[in-house]
Amino acid sequence: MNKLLQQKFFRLLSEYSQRKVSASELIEAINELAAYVADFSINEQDYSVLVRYFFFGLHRLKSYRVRFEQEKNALFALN
Amino acid sequence: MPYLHLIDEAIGLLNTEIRLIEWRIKYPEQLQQRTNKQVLSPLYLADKTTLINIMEMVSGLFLSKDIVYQNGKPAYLVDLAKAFEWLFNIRIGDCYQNHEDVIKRKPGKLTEFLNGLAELIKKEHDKKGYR
Repeated sequence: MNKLLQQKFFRLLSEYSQRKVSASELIEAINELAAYVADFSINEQDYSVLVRYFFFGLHRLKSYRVRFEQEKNALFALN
Repeated sequence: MPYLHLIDEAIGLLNTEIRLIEWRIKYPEQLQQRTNKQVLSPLYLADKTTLINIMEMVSGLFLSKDIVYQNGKPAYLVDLAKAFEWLFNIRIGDCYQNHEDVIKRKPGKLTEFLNGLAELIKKEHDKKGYR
């Protein structure tokens, strides 16, 4: 599971609170992520491993999304 | 966070992969074909190289019994032909007929291509000064 979290896209999301991340960095990281998950999916034949792996990443992304959305809403409320 | 849409894109990416796994489970035959698809060889024959040249090598290797399966038994002609078909992106067709076409050639032409290869190696050997 760690390999997935070590992908650039996840790293950038985790670093977001410490430094400004540009859209172009994230777009490049998405392209890398797309290539990585496709490659992993082709090479791993055990479906249960694949499903666990991808759901793990999916839930991590959803939790980032919720967190960032809450931050955005808090900023709007302050303004 | 101004890039929520990019997180949504990544979420979509993983959702697609999960859906693909579901399809692989539901429709194994259709998706199996894709996974079993062989990688294409990057090699092709030069214009001057003919199929009979390649068949000389196939026939020679077949008769030598030097190419074997994992169990040690010598490879069938058809499997050797298929391997060369893949290697050079060619269609050998009826390998038994082609094998016969090699064998029945006149003695002077029988192993013209293989002799040429042997000659090239000998020349290179001499050129580099090996004894």
